[in-house]
Amino acid sequence: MTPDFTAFLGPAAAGGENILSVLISLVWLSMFMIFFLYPSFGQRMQLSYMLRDLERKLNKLKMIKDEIRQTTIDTIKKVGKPDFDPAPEVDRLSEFFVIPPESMDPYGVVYKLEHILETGETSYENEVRRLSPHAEEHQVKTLTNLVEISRGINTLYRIVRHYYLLGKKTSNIYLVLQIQMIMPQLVEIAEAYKMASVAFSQGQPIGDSVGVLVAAKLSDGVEKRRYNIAKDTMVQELEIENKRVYVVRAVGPGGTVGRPGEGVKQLVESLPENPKLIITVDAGLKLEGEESGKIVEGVGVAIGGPGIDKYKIEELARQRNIPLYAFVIFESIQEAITPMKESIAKAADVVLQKLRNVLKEKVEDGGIVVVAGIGNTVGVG
Amino acid sequence: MSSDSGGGFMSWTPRPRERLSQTITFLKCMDCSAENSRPFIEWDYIFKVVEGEKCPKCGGTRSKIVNIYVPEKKESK
Repeated sequence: MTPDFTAFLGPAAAGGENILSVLISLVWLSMFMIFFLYPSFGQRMQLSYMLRDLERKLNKLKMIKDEIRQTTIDTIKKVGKPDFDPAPEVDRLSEFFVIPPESMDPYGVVYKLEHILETGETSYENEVRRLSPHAEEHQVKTLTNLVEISRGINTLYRIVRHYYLLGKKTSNIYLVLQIQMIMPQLVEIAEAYKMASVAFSQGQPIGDSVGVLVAAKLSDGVEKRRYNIAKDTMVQELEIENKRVYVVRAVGPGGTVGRPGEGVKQLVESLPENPKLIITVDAGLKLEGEESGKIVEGVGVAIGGPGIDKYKIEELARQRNIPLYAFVIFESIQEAITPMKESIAKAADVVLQKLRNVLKEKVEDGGIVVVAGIGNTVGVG
Repeated sequence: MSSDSGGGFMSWTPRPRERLSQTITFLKCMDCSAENSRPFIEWDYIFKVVEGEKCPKCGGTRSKIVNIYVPEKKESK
């Protein structure tokens, strides 16, 4: 028997209505009714898509976090050779926190912040030193940075997970939307953390080291004397074209930024006369579309971070009326914490030449100049 | 990068992965000042004096690390 499909296939052939068109109409009607009676249905569907996307990226963050944790543990085992398993201690340090000071009364907040950060840094460093009994001092500094990366990615993961779960629990599309919008940037930062962990596990110079590299190259071969002036910070005395140059920089090759603010302050206060110029050299964040390794110069103090060092030099310069000059080498946030790229390393030589020109043009013979190389000195001796 | 709110397949394309090039250490022979390079070895640092690595030019065994960086590929014009 041959089935008759004409009713399904051709309304005209069947003479008007057929089952297929009725079914389609019913589907349309039911969809219409759903959206009419349940107006937030579309939003619900969108929320579920967004949550799924967020979950996928959150898993990626978790993978990166676990990878960095493993790199940290392996490096501590390899370099520090502890006679116990450092994993639980690394996990404990990943949850370490620093509570910023109360700023309701802003008077003295800079020094309160300095005290808290110093306390945190010292205790963190001591914990890492205890975990790595066989590591050399500069390796302890670099391992401390590595554990800090582990802490950073752990915090990032926890915060993203918090907003994901909160958005899911409350079905708050606006909350989920905000975290989902910034997720690509957060994943990029997490990837940069991963590359940074590789750099710190081997003691490689990173993009942020460029300021210190310029200072180190300036004093290479012409250093007359060197001494420590503040924690992890040293002064190198030189003479360049009849100018007395004092280079302030973090002590390498371990991963530390030192205390350039305190170093410059102590140094200037100990000098017989005021310097004619304070020059800071640092890496700075470029804008999208700008070239990495581009050099710009201007006035002011080129120091990032929490602002303590910048504040100290600015305050000192204002009190003594010392002009401030600055060189900044542009790079992205990813480049700042990952192994140093060729364009950034080569920019250091160009800055060096520009720095010499500034010394020649702006300072008369016999004058004193302070040059502060700012940044993490990992991989720069 | 996903630009739609649902992370749909229409808009998402995998970003080409940036391959991490190998870090290179540049050394300067302390006898003949010739510069040479080799792959980065863990805990190398700039201005480290390396003993026991022969200079390919003069055979000197003392050299100083003068730079460490990741070479970038030159864009063809």
